[in-house]
Amino acid sequence: MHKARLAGGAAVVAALAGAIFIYLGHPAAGSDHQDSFTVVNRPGADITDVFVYQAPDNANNVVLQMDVFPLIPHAALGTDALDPAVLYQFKIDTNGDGVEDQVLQLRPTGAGVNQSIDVFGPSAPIVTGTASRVVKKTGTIAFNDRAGSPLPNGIKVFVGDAKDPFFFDLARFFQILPDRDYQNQPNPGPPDPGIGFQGFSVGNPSGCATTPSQDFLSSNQFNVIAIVAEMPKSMLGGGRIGVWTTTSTTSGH
Amino acid sequence: MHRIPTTFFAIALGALAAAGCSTNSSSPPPQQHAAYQQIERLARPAVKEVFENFANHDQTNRTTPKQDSLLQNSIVTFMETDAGRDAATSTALGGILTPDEMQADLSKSVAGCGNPNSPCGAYLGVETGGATGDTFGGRWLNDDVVDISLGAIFGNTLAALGVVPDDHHESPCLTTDNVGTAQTYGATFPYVNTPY
Repeated sequence: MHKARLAGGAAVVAALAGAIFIYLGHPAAGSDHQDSFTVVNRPGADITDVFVYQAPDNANNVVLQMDVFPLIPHAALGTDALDPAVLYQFKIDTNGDGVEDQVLQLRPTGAGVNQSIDVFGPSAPIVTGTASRVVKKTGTIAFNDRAGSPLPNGIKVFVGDAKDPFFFDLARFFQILPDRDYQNQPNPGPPDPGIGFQGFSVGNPSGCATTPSQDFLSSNQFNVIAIVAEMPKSMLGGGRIGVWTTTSTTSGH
Repeated sequence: MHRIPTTFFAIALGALAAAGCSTNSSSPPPQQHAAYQQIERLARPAVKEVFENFANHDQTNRTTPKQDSLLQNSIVTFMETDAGRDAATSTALGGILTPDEMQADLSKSVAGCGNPNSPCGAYLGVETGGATGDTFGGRWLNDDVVDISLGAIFGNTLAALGVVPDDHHESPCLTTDNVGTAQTYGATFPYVNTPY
């Protein structure tokens, strides 16, 4: 679709619900929620968002956060937890070469909300790239323990349920780019040239559509499992870093 | 969201992006038979989702940031064919967003972090020299990453930052999704809000 047609702002007033699909009781949505069939079939390995921020309680600390397991409704809070077959990793590039120099790894033991989670690192990886081995163990935490008691190396780690922080008019996005919704595979429709994001006030001089927008995740009250790790900035070198997150299994599935 | 001042003159975004993809011959090669195999990867939000065909997501998920040529090509193609931007704007954004690592500068402190409703980071803050809020960068829980991204894709963000000349191919109706956060965050670990 060309920009001129996108910008045309033809008001395709479709019910937002029309773009919401039901799969295993969960609508499709996301920042990186449900972005491949592999993770759709293994939601505990589905990374929805990554955050890196200064610790609100200590300017000398940095917080690394990844959210996983999208679209957890309130009713599933006592059930959904990390996937015990999955190794969760933060990878930190401290010298700008695109290769991880430090890794922080988490591996759950047991299924469900009574699981415990072993924490490994942060330390130099044993191998780099898409294959991984666990590094030296740091300690063990319980699922949903918000106390954040420091582990032996001084870092604090939380793994548990949280409101999904992401906000976006997802239903509208899937109308604009239907290909991005896995529900439309393997024969996705083309981008719709007549749709733009909506919610501008009536009479907006740009001529954009005026149907109200909707934050999909908060309006439907979806939760995620947040993995939050706080550590001294100096532990990651104290300079410029590049961070990415991964999930891995021994089977590759 | 943090508004990007149109008068801001960017530091060299392309150079910053390039600095993230230089090679290091001393890095150990990946082992082929290690215990775990990667099935999912994420750093910057909504990059795969917006730019890359769904059919390519799984391949990108199984690669490293150093192998982001598929993602980079997807960004440029989307920008030129779907967003209707010129080659310079499209190529520039592809260079900024790959390799896909979330950049943060831990030598910086975020002023006001810890105060009520104050951000503790700024998405693309490193890459834009602080135009999105601060030079610590990273991503705060309440950053409006969608509007920041849409501004770069469909708006004049890159031209305003001095990265490329304005191609005058903006699509104003697509530069925001008109959605803001529904949450506030406190200053007590683990910061995220208890579930619904």
